[in-house]
Amino acid sequence: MKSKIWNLIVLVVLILSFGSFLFLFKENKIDPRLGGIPFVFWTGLLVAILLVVLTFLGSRFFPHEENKRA
Amino acid sequence: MTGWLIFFFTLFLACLGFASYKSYSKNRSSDDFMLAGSNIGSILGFLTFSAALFSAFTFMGMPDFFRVHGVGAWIFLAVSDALMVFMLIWFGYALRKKAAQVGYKGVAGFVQSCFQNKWAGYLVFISSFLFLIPYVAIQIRGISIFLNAAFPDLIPDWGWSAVLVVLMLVYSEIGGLKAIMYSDAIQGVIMLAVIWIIGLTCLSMAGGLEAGLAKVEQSNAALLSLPGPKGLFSSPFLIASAIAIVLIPVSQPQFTTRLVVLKSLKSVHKMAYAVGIFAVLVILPTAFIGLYGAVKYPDVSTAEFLSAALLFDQASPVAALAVVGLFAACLSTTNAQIFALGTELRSLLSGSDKRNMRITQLAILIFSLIVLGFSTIMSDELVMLARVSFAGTSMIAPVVLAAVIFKHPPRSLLILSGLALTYFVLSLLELVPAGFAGLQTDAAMYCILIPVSAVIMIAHYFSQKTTHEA
Repeated sequence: MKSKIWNLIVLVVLILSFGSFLFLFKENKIDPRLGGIPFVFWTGLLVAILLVVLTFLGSRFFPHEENKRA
Repeated sequence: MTGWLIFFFTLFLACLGFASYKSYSKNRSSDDFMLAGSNIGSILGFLTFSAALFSAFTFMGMPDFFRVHGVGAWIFLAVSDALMVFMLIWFGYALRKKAAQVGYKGVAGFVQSCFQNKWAGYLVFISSFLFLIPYVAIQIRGISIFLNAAFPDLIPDWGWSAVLVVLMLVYSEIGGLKAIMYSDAIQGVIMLAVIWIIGLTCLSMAGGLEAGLAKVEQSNAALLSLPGPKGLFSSPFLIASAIAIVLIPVSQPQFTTRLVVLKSLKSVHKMAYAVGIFAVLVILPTAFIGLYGAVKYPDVSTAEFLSAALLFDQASPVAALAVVGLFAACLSTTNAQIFALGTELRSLLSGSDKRNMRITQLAILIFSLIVLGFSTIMSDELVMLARVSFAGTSMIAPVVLAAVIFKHPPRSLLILSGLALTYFVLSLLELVPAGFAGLQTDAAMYCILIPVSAVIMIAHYFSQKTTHEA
């Protein structure tokens, strides 16, 4: 189960990353704004926060454990 | 302000002295000195990783980057950093697993053991030496620009650099990696507090977020979108930057070593998302400072903008804290990198522990002097120089990744990374064309390096599998 959730998280991170750089972060696009904040900034902020949340989830559902070190 | 400055500096130096004293042990081994006994918890781990990552380049370079190139600076650093911390989840696990099998004294020695090839270790060391020296010099250059602008007649540029290097040498030679980590923790806390105080002050002086952005739109609307007024933040630039930054923990030894010396995988994982949160929190106020700069100081030089926004426009205690915070930020990143070079050198040495430690301490002194010399000839483009350092070291990332992934990594990757590194260095020296197919050198190199490395690794994986099955 942990492994499936981890794989799903990795998939979401990949889609979010590729999707953002290829489709979301477009040149010369200021609108739509959010509270006066230009498009690139608020979407960038949102993507960064989502990635950090996914990192938190990834740390919870990472399927491998390490052996006790000598 | 002088009174406040003396007060905060005394407090900071006392903390450093205490950290060195607590970390000093007369009968320590070189592992205790260079790897802090490999028993670091998640809180100290997160603070030391963050402090090594966010430095003068963030504190000074990012506000200026936002001011000159606009909001795309957020994607350039914050989104890339967020991707990098996700990578830490898997890479931390795989690295520690392999390090437990073959031993770890530094990335160069680790790679040398995995490849069973001394040239693999030399390649990592050369890459670290070539690109960490300028990166360290950037930090020192950054702080000396700032302090010289703030106190023009006190001491010359190189004087500030020398003070910083001497201070760093004294306490790192006394306390080793543990003292550096404690100083990182102190710096991390100071930096986050100072940058938010200054960021919020600047935001308020700009008239608030919405009003400030409206003023920026009137004066230079290109700052509010990609690729920015100078066209810097094109898609290839942002993607290449993201790749270089994601690969920082793989190819910059000061970070790789920090992943190994944490006491457990759980600590690494906690550290990863904590660094992500820290990244968002520390980069956001630099955007506010940059916004203020774009409104009030659109056309002045970097040094003039920074000394005004961080110092002269602030209340005395805040300005004094900013000087100490910047000094601390610069110090922690500088010592992390110089120390990492020492660690890398030690990992390649054979012989008695005592002799290796003496050679390493001497090497740290020599590296510091080289950096000091280099810092006097650097340009003021802090962020761009930092990016060159990230991109340069990332050329050897396939070698480190293969060392971590495979039991017997493919040696062809050594040739591939060696060629990539050579081309990258030659392009910086303008001896070969910088970039091709309309792309900058790093982006163009990634277009070749990533698919070719992937093909080599996949072919190696299947050939190994076939061998084992046979």
